[in-house]
Amino acid sequence: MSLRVLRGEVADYESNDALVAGLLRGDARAEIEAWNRFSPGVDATLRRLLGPGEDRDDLLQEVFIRFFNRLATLRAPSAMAAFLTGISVHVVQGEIARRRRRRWLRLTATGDSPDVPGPHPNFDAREAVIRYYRHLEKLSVKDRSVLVARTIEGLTLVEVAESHGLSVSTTQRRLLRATKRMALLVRRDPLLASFAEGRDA
Amino acid sequence: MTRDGGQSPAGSDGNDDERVIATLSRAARDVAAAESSGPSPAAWHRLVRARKPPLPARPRRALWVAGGVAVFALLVGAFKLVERVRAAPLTYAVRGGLLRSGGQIDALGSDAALVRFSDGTEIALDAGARLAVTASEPHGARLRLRSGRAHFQVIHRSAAAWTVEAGPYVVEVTGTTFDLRWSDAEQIAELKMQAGSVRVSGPLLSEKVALGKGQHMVARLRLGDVMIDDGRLADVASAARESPPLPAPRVPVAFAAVAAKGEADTAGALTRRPRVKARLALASAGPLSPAPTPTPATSDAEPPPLDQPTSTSEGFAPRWVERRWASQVAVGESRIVVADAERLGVDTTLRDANGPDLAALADAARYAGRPELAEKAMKMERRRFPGTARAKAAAFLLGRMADDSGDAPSGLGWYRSYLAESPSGPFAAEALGRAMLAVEHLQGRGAALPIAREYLGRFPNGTYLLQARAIVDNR
Repeated sequence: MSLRVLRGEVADYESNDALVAGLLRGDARAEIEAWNRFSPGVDATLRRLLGPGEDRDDLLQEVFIRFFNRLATLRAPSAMAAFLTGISVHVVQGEIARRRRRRWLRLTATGDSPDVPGPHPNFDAREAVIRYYRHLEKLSVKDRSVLVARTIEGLTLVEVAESHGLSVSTTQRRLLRATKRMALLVRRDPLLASFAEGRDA
Repeated sequence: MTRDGGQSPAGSDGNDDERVIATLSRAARDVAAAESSGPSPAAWHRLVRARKPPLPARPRRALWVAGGVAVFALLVGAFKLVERVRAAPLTYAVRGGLLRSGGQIDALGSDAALVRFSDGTEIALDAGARLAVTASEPHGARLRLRSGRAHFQVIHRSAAAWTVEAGPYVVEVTGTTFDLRWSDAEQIAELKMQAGSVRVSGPLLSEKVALGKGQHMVARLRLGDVMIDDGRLADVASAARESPPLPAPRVPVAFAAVAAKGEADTAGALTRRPRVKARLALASAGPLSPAPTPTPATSDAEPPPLDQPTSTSEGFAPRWVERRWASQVAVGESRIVVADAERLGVDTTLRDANGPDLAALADAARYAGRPELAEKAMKMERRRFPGTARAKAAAFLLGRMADDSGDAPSGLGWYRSYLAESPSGPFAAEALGRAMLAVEHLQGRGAALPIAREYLGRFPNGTYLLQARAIVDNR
């Protein structure tokens, strides 16, 4: 449950149109309202795109910085959610790429030895999801992002395409390729395969 | 599962791959939903801090400029304050004497007095001496020694500026130790250096004279002479006050004093210059240097003949204060040098000037169109400094002057003198060539033939080559 930021009088920014107008005027109250209105969703999106257990505060901050800075490029107030999702996708892509570079240099994102959990009697959904996200890291940044946005975040094909700056057909090809690759990886992982079959059953 | 329904790769077509992915994706959403807590207000505040725009460049630059101006103002203020403190005039205290109005200090009776300035400078007045502090400044003071003797110990500082007047003489001091005496009745100023250096100006001195450690100056206005020596004269004379005078060493000692200035020769030479000896003996007189028994002056002694040098001394002129005229001649101030010599008196100058100044005067006179003075100066060079390079060169120059003025016989005589004294000298080719032409002019080509042959043999590329060949070829 998120907490609302309240500072002084809150103007009437019920509609996205009014909110965008307020943001474009540089009204600080509009920025608070935007944060209150969109930050939970953005935070959830980041959580889904990154996987469990990841620290998202820095990314959330980055998303809103870009949001405020690029607001003038928003085509229509009604596209606010998609606009934020697109920013989130790009921020996460950048983060994944950064982590991979750092892992390549330091073996892990933090420089520590990778902590890959082995078979566990209480292997549950959370551990399966963590394991699944680790396999997602084996995809290219963009394939991973397309697949996660489509299957976990639940965006439509068009939304995925728009948020990634790709055509729908290209997005679809990437999606199919990533799906096959991930399915193969899951099947090769006995624990994940059994989890998927058990859930599916 | 998806908002566009039926398009998901995760299962609508029954594909196994998509089903597996859909299953795990659903689990991922469930886990994410279970962990949902939303962003904290702290995240917002971090965002606000992160978005806080940096200070615009201009205000920041303005801040730096303002800071710089403030620091500069502080420095200037501090500097001014220090300057004000340092600019305060020196103060002084008097011990053992009587301080009168107007900064007059009298060492009464038989008691000495001590004047101590705030910078540490001390002036010890002998009994009976009278001093006046006419002005006190931040870096020194102006003093007037009205009478008597005082010992000055001026602290050396970078900007120290002290002046002490003794009668008509002014002693400029930056930091040194010296004794100064002024006798108004005798009109004698006497300065004896102990350390450092001073500059003295006043009557009988055409320019400021620098005196260094140990040097001693006595100026006797009534007699119109100034003597500067290295101090040994005064020391011996002082010693003579306590013991019977020893007439014999007095002259050599006096001579040694002059020799220390680099203008004298051996003591033996001095014994042949009785007039100078008398002059030195007189110059040593005075309370600081009590007068020895005067040696009779032989003012009627004839100067030594031209070709019979009696002294090899050069610049032996105890009265002469070096003018350094050569440097003035070098920069084209020949007329000023001539005027200076005339102001001092031509005869006095010719008689007393040291070798370099006399040679410079001769040059200056030639350059200034004063051949009669140049001739006198060069003849005096040859008389007073025979055998020196300058005296030899003077023979050639005298010959050329005479030759150029139409007096070929005189010119020939001087050329022969030069060639005899300096057969390989710097003017030998010129002198031989001119002598050849003078002989031809006076005695005919036949008489000039041997000189022409000699010229061609010695100077085959000389400037008189054509004339010499013409004589040899009898053309």
